[in-house]
Amino acid sequence: MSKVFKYIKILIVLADVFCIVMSLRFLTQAEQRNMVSQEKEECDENELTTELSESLAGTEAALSEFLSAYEETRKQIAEAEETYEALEIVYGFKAYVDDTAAELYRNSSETPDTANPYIERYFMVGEGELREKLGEDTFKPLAEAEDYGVFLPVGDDIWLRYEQDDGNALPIGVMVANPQINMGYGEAKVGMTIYDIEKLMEERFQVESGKVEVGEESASYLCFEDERYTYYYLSTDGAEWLQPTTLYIMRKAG
Amino acid sequence: MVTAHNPLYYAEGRVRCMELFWKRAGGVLFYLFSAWCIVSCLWLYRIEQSAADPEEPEVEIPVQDILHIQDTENTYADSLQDILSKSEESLREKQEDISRLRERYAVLAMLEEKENQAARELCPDRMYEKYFRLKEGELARIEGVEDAEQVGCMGNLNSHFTSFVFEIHMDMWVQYSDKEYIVEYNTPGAIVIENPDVDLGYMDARAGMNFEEIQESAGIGEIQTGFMYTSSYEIYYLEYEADGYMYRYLSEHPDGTDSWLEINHKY
Repeated sequence: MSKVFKYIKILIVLADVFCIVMSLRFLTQAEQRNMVSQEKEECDENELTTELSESLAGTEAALSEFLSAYEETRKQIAEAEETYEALEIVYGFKAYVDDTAAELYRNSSETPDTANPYIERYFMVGEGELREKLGEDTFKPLAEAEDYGVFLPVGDDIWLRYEQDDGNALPIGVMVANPQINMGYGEAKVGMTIYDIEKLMEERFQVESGKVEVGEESASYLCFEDERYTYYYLSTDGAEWLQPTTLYIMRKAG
Repeated sequence: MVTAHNPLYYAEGRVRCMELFWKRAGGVLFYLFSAWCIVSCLWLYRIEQSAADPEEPEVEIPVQDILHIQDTENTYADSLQDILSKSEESLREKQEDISRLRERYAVLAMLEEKENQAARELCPDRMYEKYFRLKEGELARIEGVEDAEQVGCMGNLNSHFTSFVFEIHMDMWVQYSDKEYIVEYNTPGAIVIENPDVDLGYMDARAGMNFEEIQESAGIGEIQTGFMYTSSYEIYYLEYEADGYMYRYLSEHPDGTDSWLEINHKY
């Protein structure tokens, strides 16, 4: 019996040793796992912090860049507005001088032959000289006029007609459709209807009236003359009572 | 032999009791220790098992939230870009407006120059009338003048007074008689030209020429002297008359360097 107890004791001791060893092993493994888990947590945290920092830094950089670019653009806009305002004043003066000249040189029907530099100036503008000054969309082009020569705009709804595309050519005619432009024969203004002009102007001043084919349409016209120019007031045939006239001025030969 | 009557009998008994006590206690401790080892091992084993197989899954950020955050960032960046693009578009439009206005001005300036050339030939007695008809009130409105103190002034020859001027072209002014108030329908008394590129003057004499050049172009004249309120120097000038206008070429130098031209009506 004592031998059995002895063996049992030895077994128990072995079991104890085994348990102690396993316990130590479990403890070590748990410790290692904790360390790994902690490192992983720290790593994740660092990664997240780095990502956030980078993202924040990226956003800050983008915002800083935007603010810089935006400020620069606003500054340029402010400068452009100042330039435009100054230019408006200068242009305003020029336009006023032009209007005053138009009024000054406007002849009356009773004295039609007084020299008119305001009209004469258009016939002094070389084609090349005018093209140099024109931008792409400064003034509206004259539509559907390609068959009748070269028409170059020289203001709003006013064109110079050149016979051919020659840099040195001078105009052969001036087409005016803008009623704001104070040009015409005597009191007959651009934009009046043919009916109004006939009523306004005594027949003795008229040189000619009639119809003419312009492309596929027929136009009515009244014609006046002074010493230097011939004035045609044109309107669509059948619309003499309604349609504002367009003025076409030609220089007389000689 | 130790008997009960011997005191050593009781001492030996006590020792044997003590020995027996410690032997029993040792056994109990041994078994307790063994039980503790086994229970601890089992307990640690159980913990190990549960750590290897976690019962709860890791918490993950929902995919929609991640996408939402990314979308928000992208929208923010797009909005900034949009604002910048609109701003740049405004700048382009303004620059195009400036370009168009400059072209209009250039065409009008060219026409005015041609008109002056035509007037010189056709009606020299009226060639400056368009400038002498410019109303003071209208020029003040164009310039945006709200107060007379904003208007520039120039001196008058042989006068202690200055009077209002409006610059209608680069270095070309119209001069009025007023110096305190803007008068709506007042018209200029003089045209003053400092710009040598302005093609106006008596014959071929232009502003900026000295007296020798002027006399070569326009003919011999007497160099006169005078004064001007705005100048601390004596004023030298040449005068010419034609077609109802008086042309004066003035300078602060005796030889006429840096001259300017003044055109008045000759009444």
